[in-house]
Amino acid sequence: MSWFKNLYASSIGKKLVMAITGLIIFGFAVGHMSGNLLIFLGPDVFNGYAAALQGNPPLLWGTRLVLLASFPLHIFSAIQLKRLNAAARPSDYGEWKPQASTRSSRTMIWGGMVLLGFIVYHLLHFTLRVTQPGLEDLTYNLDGAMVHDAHRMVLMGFAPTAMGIFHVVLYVSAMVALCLHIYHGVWSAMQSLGLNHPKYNVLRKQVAAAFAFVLLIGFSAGPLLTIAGVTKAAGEAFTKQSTQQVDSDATVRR
Amino acid sequence: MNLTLKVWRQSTDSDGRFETYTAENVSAEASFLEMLDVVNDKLEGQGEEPIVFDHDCREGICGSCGFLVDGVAHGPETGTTICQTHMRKFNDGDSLTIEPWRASAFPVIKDLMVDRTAFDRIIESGGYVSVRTGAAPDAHTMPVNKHDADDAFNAATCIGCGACVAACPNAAAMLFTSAKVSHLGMLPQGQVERYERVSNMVDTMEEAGFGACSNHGECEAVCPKGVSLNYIARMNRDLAVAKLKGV
Repeated sequence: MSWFKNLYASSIGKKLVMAITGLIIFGFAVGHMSGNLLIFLGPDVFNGYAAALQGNPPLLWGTRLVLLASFPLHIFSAIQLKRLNAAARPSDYGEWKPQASTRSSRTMIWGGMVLLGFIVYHLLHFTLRVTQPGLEDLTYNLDGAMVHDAHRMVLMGFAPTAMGIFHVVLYVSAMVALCLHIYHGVWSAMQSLGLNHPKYNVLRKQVAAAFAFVLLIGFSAGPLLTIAGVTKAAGEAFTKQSTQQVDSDATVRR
Repeated sequence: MNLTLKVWRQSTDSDGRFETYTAENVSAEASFLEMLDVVNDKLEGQGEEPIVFDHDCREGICGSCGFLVDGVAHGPETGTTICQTHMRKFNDGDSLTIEPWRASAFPVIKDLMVDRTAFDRIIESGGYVSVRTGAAPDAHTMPVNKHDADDAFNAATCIGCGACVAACPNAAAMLFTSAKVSHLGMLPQGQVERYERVSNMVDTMEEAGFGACSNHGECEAVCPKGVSLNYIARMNRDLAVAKLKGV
């Protein structure tokens, strides 16, 4: 492992660790967002999905362990780089005008801190379920099996109450921070990893922007449409439709 | 045209401050440095110390000059050193802030002049190829692919002025170092020491106290020679391979 120690000793090595762990967390976020969108297909589908994840310990704990390793590495290298950079420019300019950097690139460390705070709250809220009364023991009858009612938990989390409004504001603003973090992060990670080609370099920023936007919309859809009552209505409509489908299939068979 | 100049004045080992001067009857045809020459003549006439700034060729090719004008390294004209920026770029009555490069690796010597020997140390640690000298070889003895030749040439256009360090929010010397690593590393003559070079030059760069790359792209935007960020990505790749090889 001496090669890793030597590589990590340089700031380029630290950036590589930032890039790799960042892309892992980004990959998880894309998967998480896709899963979240199942909320619009009603409690059967969403709770079935949640139960399938819970019922697959290698997948669940594999993902958790990889994330538990990635987050500290990402944060630790970020702090080390920030300190290095602060030491390299001890006094600020009287006047400095940015020419190419973006709000996104200049707020990476602050955005990262906001996201860390949000993730801690989010885990306490929906994973450990300790911040909101009433979310502790929600159960759902999924074809005879009693499973955790993740669908109802989301509806309650973003209910049109004072607490629900607070959650919607909190979650959506965190997703704006995520969008900014991802926009610079994904592009920057490709650069740190040395993935560049004159033909595709413009595409790198466009791909990063597209992902940032998709994550913002995909993640914000849940809280916003839930408080607006759309999630519940969409779920009911989908469940009704699929029940009718089953009925008509049954009729045809008969 | 008449201008108000807010200039950073500092001597070694003391805190600096901004001083305000006026530049009167400036010709639009004068270069920025010529404008400062006129201001300095006037200061000397009044028995004051002239503003110290680095300069040599004044043709935009030596890399000696450079300071920030209104928060932009080498001033408002892109792809141009400050010596080649002319006063017609400014308007009568403008107020300009003039500041030296700021980086802990570039200590201020006096006023607008900074010590850039850290760049020399980076070059010494790997900016060479060990080849047998003698009569110049025929140009076509060693075939070089056109893309590599162009890329190596573009990297070699770096004049080492330090604007990349000055513009970088982290005072990183990645663009300079990557240009120097790449211009030799992309040519056949530079292959023998390719990985040793990148490893040694990056180590020297970091020992000098430059910051890390955050991929802001400020360096590329102010580079008077338009050296591309792609060289940084290329250096990152080469360094990872070098460290894997244990170089």
